[in-house]
Parts: sequence; C-alpha cells; structure tokens
Amino acid sequence: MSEQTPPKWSTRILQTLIRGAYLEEIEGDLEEVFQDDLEYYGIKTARKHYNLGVFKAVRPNLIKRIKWLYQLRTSNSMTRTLKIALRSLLKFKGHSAINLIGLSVGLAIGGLVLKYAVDQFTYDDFHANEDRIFKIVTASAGGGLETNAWPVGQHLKTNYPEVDKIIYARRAPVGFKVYHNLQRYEHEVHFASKDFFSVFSFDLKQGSAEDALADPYSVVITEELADKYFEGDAMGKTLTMRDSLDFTVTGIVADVPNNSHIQFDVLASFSTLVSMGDFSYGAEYGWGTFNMRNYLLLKKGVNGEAFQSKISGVYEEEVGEWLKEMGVEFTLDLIPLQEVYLNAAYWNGFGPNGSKDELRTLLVIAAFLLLLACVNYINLSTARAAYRAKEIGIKKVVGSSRRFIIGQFMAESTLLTVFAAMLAIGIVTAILPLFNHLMDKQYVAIDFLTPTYLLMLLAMVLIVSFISGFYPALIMSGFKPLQALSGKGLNSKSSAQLRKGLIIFQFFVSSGLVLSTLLVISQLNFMKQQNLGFDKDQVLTIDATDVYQNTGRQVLENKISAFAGVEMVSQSNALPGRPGWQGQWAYPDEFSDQPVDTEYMAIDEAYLPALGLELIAGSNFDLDKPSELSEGLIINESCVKAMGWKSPEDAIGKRIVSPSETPQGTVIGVVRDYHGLGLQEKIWPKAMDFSAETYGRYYAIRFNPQQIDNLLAQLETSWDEVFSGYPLKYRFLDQDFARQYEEENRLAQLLSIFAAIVIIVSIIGLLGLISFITLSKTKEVGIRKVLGANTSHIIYVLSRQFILLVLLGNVLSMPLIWLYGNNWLNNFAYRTELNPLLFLAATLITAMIAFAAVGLHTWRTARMNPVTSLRYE
Amino acid sequence: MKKTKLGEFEEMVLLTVILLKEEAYGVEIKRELEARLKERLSVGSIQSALKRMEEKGFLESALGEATQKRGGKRKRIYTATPHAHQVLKEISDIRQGLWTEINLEKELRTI
Repeated sequence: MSEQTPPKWSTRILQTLIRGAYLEEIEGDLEEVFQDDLEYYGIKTARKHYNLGVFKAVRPNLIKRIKWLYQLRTSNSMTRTLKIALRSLLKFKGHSAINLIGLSVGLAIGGLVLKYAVDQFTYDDFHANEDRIFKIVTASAGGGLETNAWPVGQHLKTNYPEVDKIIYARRAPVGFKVYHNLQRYEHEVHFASKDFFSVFSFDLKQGSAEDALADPYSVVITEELADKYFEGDAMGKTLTMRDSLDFTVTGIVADVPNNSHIQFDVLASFSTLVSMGDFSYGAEYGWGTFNMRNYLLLKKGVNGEAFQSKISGVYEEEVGEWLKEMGVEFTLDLIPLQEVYLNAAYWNGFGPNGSKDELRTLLVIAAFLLLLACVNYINLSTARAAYRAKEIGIKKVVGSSRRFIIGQFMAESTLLTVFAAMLAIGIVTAILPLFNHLMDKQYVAIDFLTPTYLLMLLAMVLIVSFISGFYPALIMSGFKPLQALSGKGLNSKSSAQLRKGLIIFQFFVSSGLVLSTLLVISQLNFMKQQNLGFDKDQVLTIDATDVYQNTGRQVLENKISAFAGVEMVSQSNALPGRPGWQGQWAYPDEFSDQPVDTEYMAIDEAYLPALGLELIAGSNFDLDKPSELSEGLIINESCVKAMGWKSPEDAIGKRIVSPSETPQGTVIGVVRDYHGLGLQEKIWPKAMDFSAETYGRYYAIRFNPQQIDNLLAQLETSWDEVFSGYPLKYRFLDQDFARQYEEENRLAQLLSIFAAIVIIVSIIGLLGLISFITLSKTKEVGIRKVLGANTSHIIYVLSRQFILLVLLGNVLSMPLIWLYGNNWLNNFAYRTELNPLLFLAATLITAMIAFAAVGLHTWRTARMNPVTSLRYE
Repeated sequence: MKKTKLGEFEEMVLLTVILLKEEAYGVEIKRELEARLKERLSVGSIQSALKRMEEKGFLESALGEATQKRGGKRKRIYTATPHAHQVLKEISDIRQGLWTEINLEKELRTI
C-alpha cells in the first residue's frame, strides 16, 4: 500500500473496458487527478477518488465495442436475442420458476451476507493514517492480554525513533456517570491521551485535535451528547462526572461511525488520571500493572513487521528477572489497525469484537447456497437438452455458428439471473428486519447503495449466470445438426453422470447443514438441561455496583426483607453469571508452595439458601457464631480437590492462606459444585467468606411468585428513597443466566434458517428434475404396467436412483461434520457427545423430505392409466 | 436533428473548451468547470461529453504532449468547430431574447 501509484486492479478495469482510441487520454486524465489528490489528501483518499473516477468513467459511449456483443447487436440485434431467450424461459414455466426461486433466494442471502462481510472487513478504514496505526498488546503463552504494563508506552516513545505517537487509553471505572440535573446517566466513558485525535481521524467538529485532550479535566463529547445536555452549545461548558468531578468540554466530535472498533460517548483527558494520582507514566511498580490500552503511530516509511520484531522483547529486557520469578513470559505484539476488530484472540476494550470464524462460516454457507441454485439450473437444462435439440438443429442447419448458440443460451441464463436479482431486491427488503435482528445490525435499504457494494453485486450476478449457463450452453451447442434433428443419442452419458454428481453434492451440503444445526441445538439443549447446581428460578437480582460504597445498602436490604413475598435477601460480590474475583492465589497452608488459582467471593449468611446451593459438609455462616463469621470460609468441591484434600469432610477445619488475604481463613463448610458461568467454562475453585458488607455489589432476592407485581413496585419506591438519582437495575436470575447462551442460540437460529433454505432449494431442484425424468419415462411406465407391474414397484424403479444419490450425499457429509463438530464441541468445558442418533436423524430428515418429494411425483406417474401414458407424445 | 442538439452540460463544456484555447484538455476543463460550478465533476462525465460532441461535429481534437504527471500519457487538445461557434451564437441569441422579454415583465410586476 505504500507505493504512490493508483490501484493496479482499477487501472486494469479501465484498460479492459474503455475504447482503445480514448484510453490514453482518459487514463492520463485520471492519473493527473490522482497526482493532484496525492499532494492534497494523501495516498488513501487519492486511491479512493481514483477508483471512483474509474467507476464513473465507464459510460456507454466510452466503453469498448465488445466483439461478440457488437455482433449480436448488428447481426441479430440484442433485443431479438433477449426475446428468444424470454420465449424459451416462458416455454418451460415450471423449470424457470424453480430456477428463479432458487437463484433469487440465493442472491438475496448472498447479497446480505456480502453486505455483512464488506461491513466487517472495512472496519476502521476511515482513518487517514490507517497503515501506520497499530494496537500494542501483551502476548503470552497463555493467550495474552489486550492491555500493557504502564511504562510500555513511555518506554517505546523514548527509546525508539520509529515511533511517531503513542496513545494511552483506559476505560473509566463504573462510577463515572454523567451527573446532570440531579440525575445520573450512563455513557461509554474512556480516558485517552492528548494525541488521540491526531492519530485517529474522528471528525472533530469543534476544538483542536492537538489540544482538546491536553489539560486535566477536559472532555470531548459526541454531538449527540452535546445536544442532550447543552442543546448543542457545549464548548467550554462544565460536565460533571462521578457526582463531583467537573470537566470542561474542550471538543465536540461527530457521532462515532458504526464501523469503528473504538466506540465512545465521552473521552476524558488522560492527564486527569495523572493529576488525580491514579497513574504516573514513569511508575516504578508499573511493570506489574497490566491495564493500559496503547495505540501506536509509526513514522512514515517504517515497516510494521520489522518494528514489531524489534520491540517484542521489551518485557524481557526490562523486567525479565522478575517475570522469570513469576513463571510467566510476556512479549509485545502489534496488531495492525485493520485487524483489531476481527481479532478474536484479544478482547477489544473499546467496543465489541467481530468474529472471523462466524464471517467465514456465513460466507461459505451463502456461497454454497448460490452454488446449489446454479446446480439446479445446470441439472434442469442439461436434462431437457434433448427437448431443445430440434431448435438447435434447425439453427445450425440455417447457419448459426456455435458461438452464436452459446450466446443464445448464455443470454437465457443471464436474463433469468437478472430477473432473479430483481426478485432478490424484494426478498432482501422483506427479510432485512429479521437479518438485522439475527446479526445485531441496523442496516437500512440505503446502506446498500455504495459503488463498491453495487459493483460486487454485479460481479455476483455475472458469475452466477456464467456458472449456471456455461456448461449447458457448451453441451447443447455441441450437438451435431443431424443428430439433433433426428433426436438420437443426445442424452449423453457424461451429462447424466454430472447430474448425478451434482445431486450428491446438493445433498452433501444440505445434510451437512442439517447435521450441524442438530449438533448445535443438541449442545444448546445439553447446556440448558444440565443441572446447574443452583436454583435460578424465583430469584430477582439487583445490580448495585453504582452505589457499592454507599452506606444505604444495608438500609435497602432491611426494607426489602420487610416486603410481603420476600423469602430471603442476600448481598454478595458475585452471582451466577457474574464472577467474583478470579485469579486470586491461595495456599492450603502457610508452608505450601503450590498456589491454587481461586475465585474469591464475598457473601452473607443468606447467600446459600437464596441461590439454593447445597452444603455437602460443614455448615453455613451463623450470625450467632462471631468467630466463624470473621474467620470462616465456605469452599466448593473443586476447591477441595485443588487444595489436595481427600474429601469434603476432610476439608473442614483446614486453613487457607493467601498473600492478598482474600481468601483467607478456616474452612467451615463445603458446597456442591455449581455452574456459575454456563457450561462453556470450567468450574473454578471457589472460596467465600463473610464480607458482603465490605465488598457486596449485588442483591439476590428469593421471592414468592404470587406477589411479584407488588414486589417490583415496592422495590422501586424503596430504591428511590435510599439511592435517589441512581437508576434501579434489576433482572430475573433465570433470564439473566439464559443470556450466557446467547451466542449459541444465535448460531442455532442462523443455522436452522440456512439449513431450511438450502434444503428447500435442493428439493425443488430435485423435484424439477424428477418431474422431467418421469415425464420422459411415461411410455416405459405404461409398458411396465401393461406387463403387470404394480404401483409400488414402479415407484421403486423410478425413484431408486434418486434416493440412492440423496443417501450418498448424506453419508459423504458425515465424516466432515464429525470432524468439525468435535472441534466445535471442544470449545465447551462441558459438552455433549456426538450421538450417532444425531447422524441418523439428519439423514432421516433429508431423506424423508426427498422421499416425500420424489414419491409424490412418481406416484402420480405410476397411477396413470396405461392407455393415456402410452398415447403420450 | 438529434445529432446537432446540444445538452446543457455539453454546452458548458464546449464554452470551456473555447475559453481554454490550447489548454483545452480533459482535466484542465474539469478544473475550470469545477471552479465555476463549485461542485465536483468526474473525469468520466467530462470525457463522455467531449466524445459525444466530437461525434456530433462540435469539436475536433488532436493529441498533444505528454507529461510526467500523466504517467507518460498524452493529452488530447480539443478545439471547437465553426459549426459549434454558429450553434452557440444561435443559442446565445435565443436566450438573450428571452431575458429581454423577462426584464420587461419584471418592470410590469414592480408597478
């Protein structure tokens, strides 16, 4: 990309399309404009304008006269060719309808998926310095961190001349709410250092890119927020956050584009953190604190990969000794800006990540779907080749060239594809809301009208019409005139062979998809039905993270306990679906050197009964035993195992110590393992102590369902009394927990829909083929009947071949899905096994549908009166 | 009849060609027109108009020199034909006539 020339592919398009006599000056003109733009806007924009220029230069009166097109126009006229094509499409209405449905559904889905793909691949492409921006991450053998140690940025900036700018960024803590008119509002608040707007090309409407984020307590807000709080006139105004911190608005930025991986409503200056004492660039102990998000702008002409290998050893050089003691190894890694969004290995701290795997799956399925529609076309047209032989024979006798006949057939497939494309537009409009819902996007029709996208769609239509039209055209145009007119020996072996292969392929894809769908659904059911070890029904949870330092928490708990219908109220720092403090080191005793990675939870005496956790040894916290309250620990089975104790009973009375003192104490009880985080995750060793008063951030309320309406109303009133100005955030635990399976749910939905569409397209193709073949065997059926064959035998004879092909397709897809399915299931800590019954079910589903379709058709033929069938033709 | 018709955009381009004299080639015409119309034009639209007018006999052209900036490609310099001058004159006369009429009307309205 660093070369300062126009895009080659674009120039090539120009050279193939523009008339020779005009080419030199138009190419020259575009190049001249390109050079001007290069000086003015830089390489990226110049290339963009160049592409647009090429796109706009392709005009009817500048395009080459393509030879065969020209011939068509002069010798036979385009309109006539199209008229003939249309006529033959109308002649075989049934087949044309099948092709039309298949192709239009394929194109519609293909178009949508393509849109989604373009969208995902062009994330962050609006930054002018795109090629020079990198995200710095900390890689390690165990998967790495999205963030870096504090001094990394400063270190790179001072020691490496290749570095132009470094950005520091951090998400603001939960408490940073905008405080306005006595109300608190939640927004995406991040801290970012001074150079943020000179590195990234966000559209700063007011304020200067250099200084907007320079001083402490300055903020840049989006236009939307400026309108919301200051009627648009926000510059210099004061925005209060965290109840008492006053920030001055020093810049207003256009609302962040959807295709940016960096999403924010408020950007506060990073120097605020420095002046608050929460961060210092040269921090002595900073090498151990990995919570800084850094972006890097390299100087022009510096090679990213070379620089990456230069800096990867920074941790080793600076704090190698210390890391060795800890037993970890860290290296610095650079992710190019274009790859940040789709990089699933590193969480994106600024907003959601995209998934390359999902994208790939979608593209593959959409491509298959289109291919299946093409297959239908090929199968149907080669099958009826004999019927069109006469037409071809006569054309040839009259003197048409082979090329002309190919053109005629290609015109047919192109015409049909164009019709299908028009129909597809309707389909897309109709299913757009559903697609948006599934993909969590907000597309509107107008989004589809970009030049790049339209060009890609055009390419798709051309490719589809070519794939479907070319082979039949080749076959049919190859008929010898005499043969064609006599109608003998036309149904060639090779095209029948191809048809069989294609049917196998269709059902290979269909049953593969059905199988995958069943697999995902069965894993989903497995996860939903698994006993989780706690009782998630009739529990209401309140997220009190916003007010966790507020003394009112106990007041609220007392009020809630007094409500009718409330059986239990508990406070804690963790609930199912919201982990406690993971990654706390603890030891079974003082002298052990084997740390156990535990999850620490702060609970109270009501926690176990409120969540229905089962004690299998020892006892719960008892308010009457103060020593147990201050020293006691309740652990889970996994913790017993990890600490190396023989049994839950054995664990009672044992002591756990921890350098951070959480968790620390004597074990008084053991609870049965429960799945707090869904079945994708393994169960952590947990240790809970009685300190909800200090660390509690959530309420869990077990209630009696009969009085629920009343409960919510009372809750709202009491909340407002105690925490006025803060929004009440409550959820039902079962619903909350179900969100753990959102991704799998979505996958199951997507796959079901795709599987249904694919199978429908394959089946209608099969139907068309069968109706045609049975038609051509009408006489045979008649003769068989006269000779005494019964209906079922005839059905068997007619459909045997097809059913075999369908089954073969099914069988072929099995090993593949077995392999991929196992791979996918291995992502889950608790997984279902690949059940052979599943494979049987998938085969049954596809085969049954095929049987039904095939059977119905053959049955009709088989029932025909032999007199009629023999008279046929 | 159709061949000799001059579209509005074509007319603009034609006038620019006459204005620019020996500098009248694609990009230069584009620049001049963009400055006057205060909007972005594409190379394609200019070229398309030029070619159409050449076919209709309003323009003649000859290849000129090449420059570094154009990647070694030559310019095509356009000149207006006498026929073009004549048509432009006619158009100008018709419009002038109309404007005069309208001015009279305007006086009426102000009363």
